[in-house]
Amino acid sequence: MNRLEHLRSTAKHVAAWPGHQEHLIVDWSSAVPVRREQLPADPRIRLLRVEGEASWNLCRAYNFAVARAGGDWILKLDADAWPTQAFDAKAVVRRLSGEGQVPEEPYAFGSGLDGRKGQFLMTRRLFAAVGGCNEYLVGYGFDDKDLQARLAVHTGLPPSALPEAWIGVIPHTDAERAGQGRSGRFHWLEDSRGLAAMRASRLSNRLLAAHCPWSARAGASVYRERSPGLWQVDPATVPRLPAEVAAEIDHARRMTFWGCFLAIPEVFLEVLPFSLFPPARHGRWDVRWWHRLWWHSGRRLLQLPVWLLSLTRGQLKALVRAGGRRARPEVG
Amino acid sequence: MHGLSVVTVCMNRREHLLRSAAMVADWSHHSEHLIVDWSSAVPLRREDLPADPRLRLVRVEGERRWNPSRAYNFALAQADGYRLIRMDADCWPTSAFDPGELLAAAPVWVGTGGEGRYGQFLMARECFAAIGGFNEFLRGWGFEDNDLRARLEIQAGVPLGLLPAEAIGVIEHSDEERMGQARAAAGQDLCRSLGLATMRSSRLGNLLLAAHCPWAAATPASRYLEEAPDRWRLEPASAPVPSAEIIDEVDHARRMAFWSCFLAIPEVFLEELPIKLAPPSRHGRWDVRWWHRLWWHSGRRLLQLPVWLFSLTRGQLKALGVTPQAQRGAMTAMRARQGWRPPALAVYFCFNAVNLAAATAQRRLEHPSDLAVALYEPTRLEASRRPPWAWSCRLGWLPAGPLTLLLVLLFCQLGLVRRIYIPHRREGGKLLRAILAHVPEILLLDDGLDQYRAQPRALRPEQFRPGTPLYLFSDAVAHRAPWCRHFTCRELGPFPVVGSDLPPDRQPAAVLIDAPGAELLWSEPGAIPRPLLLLSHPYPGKRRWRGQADLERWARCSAEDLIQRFPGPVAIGESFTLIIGLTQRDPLLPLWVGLPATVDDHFRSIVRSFCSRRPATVLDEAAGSQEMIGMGEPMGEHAATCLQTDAEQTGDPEAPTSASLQSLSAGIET
Repeated sequence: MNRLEHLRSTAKHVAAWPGHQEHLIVDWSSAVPVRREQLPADPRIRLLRVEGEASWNLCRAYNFAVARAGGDWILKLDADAWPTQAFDAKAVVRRLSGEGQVPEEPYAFGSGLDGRKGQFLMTRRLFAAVGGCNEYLVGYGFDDKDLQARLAVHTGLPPSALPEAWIGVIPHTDAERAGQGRSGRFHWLEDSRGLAAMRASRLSNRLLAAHCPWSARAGASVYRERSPGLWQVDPATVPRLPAEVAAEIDHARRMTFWGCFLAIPEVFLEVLPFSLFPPARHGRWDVRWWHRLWWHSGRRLLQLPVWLLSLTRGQLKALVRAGGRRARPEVG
Repeated sequence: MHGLSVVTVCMNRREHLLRSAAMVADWSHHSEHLIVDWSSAVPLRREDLPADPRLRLVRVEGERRWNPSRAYNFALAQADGYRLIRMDADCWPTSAFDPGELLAAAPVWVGTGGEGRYGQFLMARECFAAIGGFNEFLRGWGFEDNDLRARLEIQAGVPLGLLPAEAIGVIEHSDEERMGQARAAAGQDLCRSLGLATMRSSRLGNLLLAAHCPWAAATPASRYLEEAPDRWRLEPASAPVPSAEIIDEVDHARRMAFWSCFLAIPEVFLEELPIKLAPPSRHGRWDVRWWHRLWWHSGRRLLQLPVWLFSLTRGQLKALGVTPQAQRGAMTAMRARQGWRPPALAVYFCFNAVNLAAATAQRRLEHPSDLAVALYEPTRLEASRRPPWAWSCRLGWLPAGPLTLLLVLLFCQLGLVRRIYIPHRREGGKLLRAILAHVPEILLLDDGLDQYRAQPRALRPEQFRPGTPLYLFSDAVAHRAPWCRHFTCRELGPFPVVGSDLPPDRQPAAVLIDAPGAELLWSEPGAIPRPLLLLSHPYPGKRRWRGQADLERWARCSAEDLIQRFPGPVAIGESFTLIIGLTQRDPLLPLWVGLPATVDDHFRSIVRSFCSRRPATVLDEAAGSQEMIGMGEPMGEHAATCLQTDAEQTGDPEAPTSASLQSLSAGIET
């Protein structure tokens, strides 16, 4: 969705990779629709478009895409990822599904940094057996971990790892990942906003996964083909959160974003006027001038003693070690 | 109902369990009540629990912390029934809970109505087994019940029926008690803050664990070895453990949530600070040191000041319609769930000493965050019972009069009064009616003997909606009148007894508590032990004693204390102190009871029943029903024969039996 630059770059790499029979690209209601001629002239590429989606929803998008894919094996790749020439699909499929001791339901996830962990390879049957991605999750984060956890319960085995060198990625910042755009002139503030948005999204998706566990029994969204290659969801079939859960998630997301961005503790945010710290609209956080003013003044002022104390962090540890006591392991 | 097991797990909550187990023993629908003692520091003893043959006690050894998921999976696996009820140690099924009727309509029913009711359930065993029971990756308090519900509903596709709030009775307790900490006393905001922070961090940790480690029937659960009959221990390697990466993430989230909430330091700053300043918990306990307390009382309060000023504008912004209605409702629900309570005012109407004692007990027990004022009727209350301000429970006292009532009405109309506690609204004037019409929440207070009368004298149940909370002293819970079921009874525990001084120059030989029925006692002047101490009824219209007294009440003279401890004869008429005498006074100490003709049959039968078990008690009844039950001697062979039950004496199947008396005494102990 709205990542044509990334897609054009990665689609070339995918087209150069010999390991697949079909490259299905789903345009998730990009503001400017992706056109076939913008993509490589590889006959294995198939382009579908889903109309009418207001925001990015990775889980629903990939459930739709996998349901339309033609192969028995699925390699999921985001628009910023591609299989490198080192990716030997036949070898990995052989390794996962052959040689005796391998499970009946093999699956593998990417390893390494920069979003590689979200890419996976598995049979379509296995994907369907766990119901695919959890459609209650929205925005960025935890979709892959949730899928992995359910696959582990279903198969009784942890996933295999796709080597880091097998998947290439276009690195990008937290702000971009969270859909906030690239940092500009005031990059510290924008970085802080990106970090806050990402944390809010990651936490809310964890809470959603806990409140609304997904399974093959859960009713996934249904789509109708309006014209060849053009689809639209039946709105009544999109999973809806119970009101109480929705309120809790919205609250947690709001607290996390403003708490992280403005460095105001949640216990205070909860009693401050609601309108000063509004919830996100369609995934966008409405950062106003007074937020920026606080960020540059009050937040920095409060950060000063924290920064001073943080200087002692390493020294305290060193002292403890010198004193012969075992330092407590750092968590998180 | 055949094959229905009530399952309770308890860890260090003996007092709650003793009360709730007596209630469960009084319930007739189950075939087994399995109680699992989850490694309580002081092991539960079977003889401390009601002598109900359906009750079975099992102990699990070696558990260091509370783990409701593992504990209930173990307990429910041990239960014999194929229909299961989870009832925590602070809950019990009430007479409104009919499992047969419910299970005929749906296979799973879950608790509703706040407090501890949410986690309780009734379900067929196969439903519980189909999802593998509780998620054993979860640790400590919080979310195990939500997780179970979500998997039942979303994964297994089982529709959940909602148990009405009145089906489950609960002993209410605070956040800090829920977290295994001591109840915060008045002014101990720090303790309350600690309880809230502990609760939030525990719940968040479990939410993350539920997200990372989903549970299913195929997931291997913990296994236990039976060391001795009914004594079990976990097979150490069998408990499910999340991966190290997940443990790190959850521990970090818990640490951030706890210290951020307790010290009001944002997480982004906490992450920068030395870890030793905000250390992780050890076995669920947070190491709060002097510098944390210092910060809480200084820096945190300082930072809170501008927040508080800003928060004052919140209501006005809302009133201007800045916040949409739906959002407002959701936020209120959220804050209620997370323990946030806006400041408010409560008003207690106290018409007599029992109302006033109930008000104080309710505040000490529940410790609401609001400020409160008790309006008392000066003509009905003794001076010694009117403290000007009870700091310990944030309760001030004012005499009720037209001016104070007008003020209360004004406060109600301004929306400042959130709750009114009142014993009844009989003879309430226009002002009182207007006040009650303007307040969002009305709660009821104990009114003495009414809970034991077939019909309350002052309270009219139909004037209040069913389920209205009714705060009652719990001296004789098993003998409560059926009309109490119209309300949600909240237990205040035994009537509080204040210590009394008996100066050397005022040592009585007998004590008489004047009330209707007192005129029947010692009708022969020569039989009166001298000197006699007379405690007159505070309301002149209820004084009956016409004889002479040698001593009158003095400042530090407590009727309840004298009733409990005075070794000589104590005589009581129809007064609320009678129940204290019958339940709290040593049965071997002499007690005279006078019942007037106006006493209703329900109360009369209760008094008779108690008296029949008290060898040193004499009961005098008016209107031809006068009947000598005991002889009045402190001890003797004849007195011992009075320990028969009513059922044995009269053949009356409704009369309390030895078992019900035991459960009653368990209630009194707590």
